[in-house]
Amino acid sequence: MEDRHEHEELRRLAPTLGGIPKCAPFVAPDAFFAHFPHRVQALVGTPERRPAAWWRRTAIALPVLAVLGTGAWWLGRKEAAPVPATAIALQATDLSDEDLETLDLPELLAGADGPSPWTDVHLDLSEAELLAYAEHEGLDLTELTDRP
Amino acid sequence: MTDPDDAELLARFRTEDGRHYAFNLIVRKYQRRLYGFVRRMVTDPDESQDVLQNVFLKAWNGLDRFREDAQLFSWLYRIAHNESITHLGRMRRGLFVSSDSVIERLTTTLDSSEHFSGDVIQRKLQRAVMKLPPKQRAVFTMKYFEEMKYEQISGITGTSIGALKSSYHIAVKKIEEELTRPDQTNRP
Repeated sequence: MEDRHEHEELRRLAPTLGGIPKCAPFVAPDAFFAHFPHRVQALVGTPERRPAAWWRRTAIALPVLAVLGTGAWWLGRKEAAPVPATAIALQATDLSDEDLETLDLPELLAGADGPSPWTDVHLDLSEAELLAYAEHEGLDLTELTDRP
Repeated sequence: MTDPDDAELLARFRTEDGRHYAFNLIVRKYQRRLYGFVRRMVTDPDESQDVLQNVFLKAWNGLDRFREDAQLFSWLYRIAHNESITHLGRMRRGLFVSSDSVIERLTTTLDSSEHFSGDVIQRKLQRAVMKLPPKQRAVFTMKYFEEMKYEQISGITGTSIGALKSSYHIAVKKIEEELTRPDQTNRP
């Protein structure tokens, strides 16, 4: 009843439009509807087993716990008693000037595990190169050579 | 063997093993009607395929949250409606052109498309429909071509029935004017 009324209304309001037969002029490309569901399935992915609820909760909880744990460790580390500066100073002054002069670094490192990074270092610089380096760095050579 | 109804398909979709199979059946069941609507809105066959593909991808992602107090078809149709409107808007913004230029492009697509089987009057009608603003075009398509009730269109578009009636009335008058106007472009 309502449809007929609407149809009559349409013919009165728009006689040209009302006189055009309704059809579906748009044609889908060949075999479109046969292939389309496969195309959609390929996009939504292969069948997957959704993880259980407890696993999803664990997956969320683990990073949160890791962050909290790191924070707690960081705070605990800061609160630990600091090493007194005097102890470091004492250790550093245990060596006399004479001891330092006689130190042979490659020899000291020879006993360490793995290859020593110092054994292959050769300072093979000419005098001119040394002077240029000192000039570039703004070094006062008299300070290095003159002893009190 | 009869096709499973929507309630059965949704129940199967919610099982872990039947999810993909049920969705495949949903696509097969509704692809033709949705394609018809999208194609009338977008015109170009390739772009229509892309839009329809997005419709079903969105449906896949949102079907878990679908409330069964609404009809599955209306829900899918609403996605198709929104996607088509978005596509037309994106087309205008992407081309940095006015609505008239988009209409011109759609008309050219229609005239050159081999996937249009309509006669001269159908072509003229389609050109007139294309000149409607996208939302009005959607209302006209649903009411005139798909012969939907205003209540259903209201559920899809979220527009009041009064506003829909008014929109359809205006669209019909515009199309009648276009159909009765002498063809100045000498197009067939």
